[in-house]
Amino acid sequence: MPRTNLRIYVSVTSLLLIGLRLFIVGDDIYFVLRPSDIILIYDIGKNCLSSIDPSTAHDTNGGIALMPMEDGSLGLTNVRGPMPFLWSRYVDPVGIAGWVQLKVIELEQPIAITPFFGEDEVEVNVRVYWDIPRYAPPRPPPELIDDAVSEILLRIPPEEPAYLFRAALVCKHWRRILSDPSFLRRYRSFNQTPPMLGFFCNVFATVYADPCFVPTTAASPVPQTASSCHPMWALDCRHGRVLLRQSGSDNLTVWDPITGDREELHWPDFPFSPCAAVFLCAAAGCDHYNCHGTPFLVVVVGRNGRNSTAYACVYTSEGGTWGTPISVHFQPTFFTNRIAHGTHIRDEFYFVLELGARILKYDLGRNYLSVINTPDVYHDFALMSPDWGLLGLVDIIGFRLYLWLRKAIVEGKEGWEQCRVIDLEKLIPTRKLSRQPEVIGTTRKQACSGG
Amino acid sequence: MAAPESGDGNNGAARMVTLISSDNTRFEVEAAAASLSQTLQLTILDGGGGGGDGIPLPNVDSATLSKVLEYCIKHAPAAANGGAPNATAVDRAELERFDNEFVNIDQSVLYSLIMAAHNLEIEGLQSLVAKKVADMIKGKSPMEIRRTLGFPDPTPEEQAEMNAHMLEYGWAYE
Repeated sequence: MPRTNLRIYVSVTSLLLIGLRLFIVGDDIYFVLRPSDIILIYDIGKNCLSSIDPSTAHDTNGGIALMPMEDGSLGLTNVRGPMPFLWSRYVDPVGIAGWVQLKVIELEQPIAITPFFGEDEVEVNVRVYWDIPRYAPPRPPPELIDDAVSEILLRIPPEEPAYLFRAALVCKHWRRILSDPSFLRRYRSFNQTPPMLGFFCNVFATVYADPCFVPTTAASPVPQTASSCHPMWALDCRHGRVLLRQSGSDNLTVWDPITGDREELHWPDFPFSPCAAVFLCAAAGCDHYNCHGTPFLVVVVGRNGRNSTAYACVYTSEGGTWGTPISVHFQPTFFTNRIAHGTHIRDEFYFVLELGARILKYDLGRNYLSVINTPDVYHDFALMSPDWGLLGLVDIIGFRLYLWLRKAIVEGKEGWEQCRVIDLEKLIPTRKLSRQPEVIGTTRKQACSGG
Repeated sequence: MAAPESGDGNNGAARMVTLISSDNTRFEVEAAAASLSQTLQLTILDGGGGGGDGIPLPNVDSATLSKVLEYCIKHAPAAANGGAPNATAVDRAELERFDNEFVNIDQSVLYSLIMAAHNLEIEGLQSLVAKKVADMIKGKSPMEIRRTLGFPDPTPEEQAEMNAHMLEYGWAYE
């Protein structure tokens, strides 16, 4: 037996780093010295080092690995030829020690053997794979077929857009599936309503600053500001793009926050300034799940000062032109030229006029502008267009949300009907609010579920 | 053979079929339960799997098949009622409880189940296991997902590619 002079420095954390060929029972640490396969035993309690003689058990061609046996004795596996052998150490009452062969494992195919360290003796459960040089490493799980991976990825919820990005980095296989347009179509139809990623908040101190994007997800692909040369005011946001109005001029900018693309719309010499607008993707047959760089249409409304005329005009990106503005006269109630909260139902566009005293309606098909009345109990509400094609409005009084729908009431004449009241105190911790909540807008999901 | 106690209008004894796993274990199961598998449904409709014949399933081992059949037997009555229109809230809650417990299993068993559910085309089981894996990995980093699913460590090339993507889409990893 070769003489061994070994110094051992032990700390519990470093044991984990040494990892591979050692094994701990109580106070004893067993080391296997390669290539002779001599087993060294270091007793921490007694601070003494001893060794176990190589015996018949060590006659191997692939190294040995130690493991705890069920009866607490020291176990050893080794390989002779293609077959793993299992041995157990015994010490008889007279103090004579040796190895007893417990098992020869007959294999049709070579496998990797996985001896375990004891779990109770060490603070951390260390698992060691025995790296037999001539055999394959532990087999990874079988690669899942595309269909199975797709089924899994479909069910990663869209609420946090980062989740799918992270899954895309798992491996090339997954990346290929995730970037396949047919998977993305399936994902969108499987998960139905796209999630709300956040909202743009116009910031006005003494001057306009850029609108600030307030994310409602933990990680967001949308930059916090439009970071343009001129301060901007967000007028509308739909189908992947934000419509901004430049401060100090009437020019508009269409900005795609994901691609960063911008397109300026020069405001012609019209008798009004843009107050509110609706932006729409105008690509034929588009499902609006992935609109980037598609043709678009913008309906802009405004008033000339505080006079009694409201205007509307339409921009189409395909011709790159503004249509001729049309106007409607009405009797103003308030001294404000504010128009806000645009929405659309098919070819009809609606805007809140005069803080909610009226609604401005633009019919694109007939190129006709009109003014309709409101339930007359709310101010500065938000309009909504639920899936079933009716115009709705939602406002808040105290901590109650009131939802109204515009319906045919008598002989084809339209009127408003209160359809729902939602008590917010049951849904959100209203006591923690420092100020009265306001309605800033609606999304389809909220409108459908009433949430 | 004992008459089934299901009250769904079946007259006489429920028809049984035999399925044979890849390791040659025979499983006798009601045809209605086995028919949850789209793959088996046609064979069973054609009268296969009865008597001493049995339907061999060379891609599914016995441990996995017994788990799959546990699912099928539990879900067969609801499936026979055409989904769940007649099911009571209690029945649905019980199935939900069963499903939750059913997928509370080791990752390696889950993998075999995924493969079996796809091979046998059992729609409900496919959704159930896919949902379980999606829940296991959602929100995790790419490396954590690899570890969760027992993938081998990435090669240096794969690691470099991952790092490059992480730089490009930094927002997703903040």
